[in-house]
Amino acid sequence: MTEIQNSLDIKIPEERVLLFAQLYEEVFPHVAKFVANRGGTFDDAKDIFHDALVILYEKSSNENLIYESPERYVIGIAKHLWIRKFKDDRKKVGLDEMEKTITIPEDYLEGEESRLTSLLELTGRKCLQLLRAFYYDSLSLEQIKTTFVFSTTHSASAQKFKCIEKMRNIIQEKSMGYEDFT
Amino acid sequence: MKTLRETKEIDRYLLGKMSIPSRLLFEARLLIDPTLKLRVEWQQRLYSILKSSGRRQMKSEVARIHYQLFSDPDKHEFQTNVFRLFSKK
Repeated sequence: MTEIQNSLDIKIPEERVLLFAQLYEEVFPHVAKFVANRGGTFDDAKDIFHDALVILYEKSSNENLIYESPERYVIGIAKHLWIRKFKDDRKKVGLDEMEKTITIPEDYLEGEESRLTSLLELTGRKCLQLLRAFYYDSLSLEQIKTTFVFSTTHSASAQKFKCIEKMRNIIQEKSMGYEDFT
Repeated sequence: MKTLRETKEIDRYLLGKMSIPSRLLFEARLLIDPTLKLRVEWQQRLYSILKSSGRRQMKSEVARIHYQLFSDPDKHEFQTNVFRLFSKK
């Protein structure tokens, strides 16, 4: 494997695209081979690899390890996803010491809140984008101020709470409304 | 403004950022204030929606890269190498 450019910042969208594209070319063939050898299909390999990149992204906020060798990390996550999704035996998969330390988010393979998520994506797009930057992307206040063009970090933070209340009220209306039907 | 203060408190509670005494106090309030309890639940639900939505967005970003790599004629070798893995029975 050739070295992946470690200087790319996964939190910056333009750099992330480059990093992901590099990882795709370098690592996807390894994951595909792993999946193919165990009887999985191309689509299985694709789904697992896509999920592995998403999990790599989520972990990047609090684990520095991924920057040392994102390639190995992605392969490790992919193996864990294979075990979880296809109930394969951990021992047969053969995880190395580094891979054994990797965990995947408990809620990752559970169903998502699709109906409400779609609704909020439609009705509150701007607020959702801002809140995602805070809560999913874990960007700093300073980065959020720049990305969303706020004059001060204070106004970014104030808007965050306004958005929480707005979105929470929509959820409230919806959950009250649906109670009538249960 | 009272609601803003409460929203901030709920945020700190859900993110586990409260000190132990504040958390205990907050949990005591949850027991006697059903409205507060519901707001906490809705806000928690919002946070899990943010996660779902973030994951969705990130997946579509990755899907675009996949599409580009598998439709680019310059990446022919990469494509055949991967497909070959799945062709042998």
